[in-house]
Amino acid sequence: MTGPFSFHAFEGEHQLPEIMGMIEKDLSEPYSVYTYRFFLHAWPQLTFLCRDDETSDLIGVIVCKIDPHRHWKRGYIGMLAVSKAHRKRGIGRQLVQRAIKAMKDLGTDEIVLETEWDNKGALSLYENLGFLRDKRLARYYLNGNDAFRLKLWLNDHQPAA
Amino acid sequence: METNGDAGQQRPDNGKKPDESFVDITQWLETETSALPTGHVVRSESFLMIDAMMAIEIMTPKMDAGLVTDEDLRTPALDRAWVEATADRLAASEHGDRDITATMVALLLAETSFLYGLPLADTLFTCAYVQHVDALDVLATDHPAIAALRASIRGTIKLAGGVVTLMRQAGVYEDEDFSTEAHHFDLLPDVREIDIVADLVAAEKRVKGTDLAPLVALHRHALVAFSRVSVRDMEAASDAIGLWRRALDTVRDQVVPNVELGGEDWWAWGFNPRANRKLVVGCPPRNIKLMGVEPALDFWSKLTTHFSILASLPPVIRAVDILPLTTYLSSTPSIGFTAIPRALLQYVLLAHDLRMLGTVPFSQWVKQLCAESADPPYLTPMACGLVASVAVTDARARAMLAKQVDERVAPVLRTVFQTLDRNILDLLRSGLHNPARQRRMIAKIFKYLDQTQAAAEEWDVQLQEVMRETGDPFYLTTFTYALKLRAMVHYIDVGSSLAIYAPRELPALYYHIDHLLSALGSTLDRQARCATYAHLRVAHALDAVQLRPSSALRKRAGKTKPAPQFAAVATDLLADPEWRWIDARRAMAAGMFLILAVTGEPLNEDLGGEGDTPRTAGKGYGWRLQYVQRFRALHAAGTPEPRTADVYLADVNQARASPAATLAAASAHLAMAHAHLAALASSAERAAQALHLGGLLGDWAREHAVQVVQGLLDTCIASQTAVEQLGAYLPRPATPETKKSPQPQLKAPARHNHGKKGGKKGPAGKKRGPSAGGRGKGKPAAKQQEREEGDEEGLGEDAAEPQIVWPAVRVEFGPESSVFGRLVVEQPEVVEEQVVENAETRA
Repeated sequence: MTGPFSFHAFEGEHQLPEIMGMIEKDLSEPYSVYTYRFFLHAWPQLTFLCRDDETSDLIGVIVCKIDPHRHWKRGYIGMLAVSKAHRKRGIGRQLVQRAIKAMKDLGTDEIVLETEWDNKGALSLYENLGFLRDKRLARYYLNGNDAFRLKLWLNDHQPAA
Repeated sequence: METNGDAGQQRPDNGKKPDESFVDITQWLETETSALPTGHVVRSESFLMIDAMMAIEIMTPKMDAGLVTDEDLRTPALDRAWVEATADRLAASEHGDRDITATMVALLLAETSFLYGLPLADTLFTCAYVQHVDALDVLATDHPAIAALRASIRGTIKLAGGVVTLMRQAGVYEDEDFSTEAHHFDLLPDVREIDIVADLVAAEKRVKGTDLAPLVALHRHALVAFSRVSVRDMEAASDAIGLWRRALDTVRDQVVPNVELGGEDWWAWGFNPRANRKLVVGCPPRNIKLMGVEPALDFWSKLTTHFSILASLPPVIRAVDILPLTTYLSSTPSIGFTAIPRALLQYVLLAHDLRMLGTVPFSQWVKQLCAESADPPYLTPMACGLVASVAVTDARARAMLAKQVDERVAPVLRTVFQTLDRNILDLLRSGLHNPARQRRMIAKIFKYLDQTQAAAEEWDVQLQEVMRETGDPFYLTTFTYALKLRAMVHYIDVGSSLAIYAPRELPALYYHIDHLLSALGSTLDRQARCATYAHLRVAHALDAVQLRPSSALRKRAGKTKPAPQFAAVATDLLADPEWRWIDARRAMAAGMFLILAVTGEPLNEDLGGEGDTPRTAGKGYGWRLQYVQRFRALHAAGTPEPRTADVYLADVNQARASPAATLAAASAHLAMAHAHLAALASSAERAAQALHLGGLLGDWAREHAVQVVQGLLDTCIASQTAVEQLGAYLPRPATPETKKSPQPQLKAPARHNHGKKGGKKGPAGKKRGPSAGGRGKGKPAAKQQEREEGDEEGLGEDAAEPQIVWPAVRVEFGPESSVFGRLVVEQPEVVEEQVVENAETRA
């Protein structure tokens, strides 16, 4: 399917079922509905959707948050999913770029996420956007896999002495 | 709880013991919760947030650990009855042996997964045979294959039980490395090991000549090796390890190729990955994937190697004897994080000497090590120098000096050592952690060392005043600085083993390694001077005392001799091997930096871009920020010229301004590295000294050291070849022949054009980064390369100066190369059609 697509802001609770459906299909870790509501209710402006213009189907979504971390603001990309049929079209990259810009506009100093150490697709996507592997977290996932914490610095913030 | 009149339920009276009956609150719940807005949950002291979340997820397959799913319903009930019935069937079947062999191979994989660090409940005890091994007792009497299965399972359980007990005793594991949770599983604590070994011997005899025999032998010899190492019966342990290896080879070569385990569904072999779901984690549930055959066999192979090495070690008597061992354990890439969990390594280490193990946690031994190391060698010469000064003066001066030392210098020293103690402890601990934790600990260590540096300088200054010396702070300052440099190099190395660094970071990485190792080499000189000076001072002072008439002083001096270790310290510090090793790696880093700098991506763009979309990386996206953040800790090295992002950029541009000179300089650096490494690789003794493994007895240490050095030498040779290949891309001097006949067109994946138009140039005359030589003028070249679409720096045909289009250059890492990979040049393909076209045109 190669139809046109467009990006939209999160509108509200009514979109939760389709967001959950998309994410649960693809991601390795299961999330409680509470987790989804935690992100979407507290930081609705950091969730972006991608829809097929012809069918209005949801084909991609990104969910993020921002929290204080020590003396600066840290953004976090919690979930990113693109439907299989629409991959390799740059949708994931554009969703991440939108999220980065939104978080940057909110004064975020850095953005982090975790991904499985052998998830080449995700590593390639984020590293091409400037993320670096900041840490390796042993047996981070429930299936025993390690994770890389990826980080994108948005400014030269220094920890307080 | 209020009752809802509509529900028609009675509320139990207060003060009466409630009947044990269920009360249906469905209607009540629906009424009460209808007032809750979406996204809100009930919470109270007796019903926490986690309870509310779990309540929401009841009956959700991915989250509810207790949910019986369709998969559960499809899986046969792998219970005792199943075990008995299946064993009966296998015993009667002509293919029974084949299926039992497959079951034992599956068990081997489960055992390996446990030894690798996964919980027992998710590995071994997901097998019904393991859970109900006693159900095989009766059949085992008459059926050799069942006897082999039974004996192997009991051997596996006994081994697992021993490992769990020892790991708990030692107290060095962490949950992320190793799980000691055994729940209620029967690990056969009351069954003697000798009886289980006897069972295995008997079972092996009964299945001799079949594929089952080597599997039984593998379990038998592994159990014997573990137990013999535990009681320091080294001869028996070594024998068992040899037999263990032979059995492993037989299993790999002859048994495994005949076994077909099928897909991921192993219920045919008695495995149900969901069997202990309720034990392992409350929420959410997940299935652990057991290790595959090849990784498992590789794991066992490495384990036998490691056991063999540790079985050959002399007893560890003092805590300080741990030091060379920790050096080996933390520096060996092939037996490391991904091969064997740290915790299991410590099990083997500690099982080596029960006198050391006992009930004392390993951390206590580390603290004792710090206590034993309170007088590091670099300080002892200085202390003796002070004593010598005191010995040659009269009694009043001696008393005054001693008073000054006690009042002025000693308190500062105590403060410094209190901080250093923690650093030394943390450094040792970091070597025993998995690399991910190691790296985080090391980052903290050199932050603390930074804080210690000022106090160390203060102590040095005060000591100098007392001893009437002049000059820069020396003794303690040098020691703490050397410690910090070593920590930083180790930090980078560990990051490499974790695959932290992206390819585009490598030039900066090598840039910093060159910097650190240069500083470390200089520090060795300083430390040697420290020891030499003190040695000479003491010797001179004693000579002077001999000339004095006072018999009391002569008598005292006669008893005071310069401790031999002062001279030895100086000699050791200037020892050729370690210096060569440091300089070899420095030269490798310098050469690698220059190559990657000259052939790498542009660094002239920062974060942000046009429009509302940030620019994608690969065009220098955020490189400056990344550089600053990635190497912030290393900047704190504080050596004369901290290598900031601007300094880095200037050195990269300087390298690109003169590609020919840069390649020549890189070649020279690699040649130096080659010379040092070849010298070390030719002598096992020197290689071991270079890697600080000289203190370990046994040929294995020297063999290992040579292996590491040789690995780096091979990498160096490959990189030298790559540099020669890159030389072909340099502009050639124009000759009459080249002007007449055009060169064959090379279709290369055009990458980066770096002509003579460089960016910022470094300050003239100030050597900073790895030397790229002088700025030479590039010679004109006539190659016209294909340009990539969107390439912003390509030259048009009317350009006055030729541009070099480098091929893709990448760094390939191997198991022994650590942070130094080998350079690989992706050679272009020659486009035949264009060559023919040119010939026709010429014709």
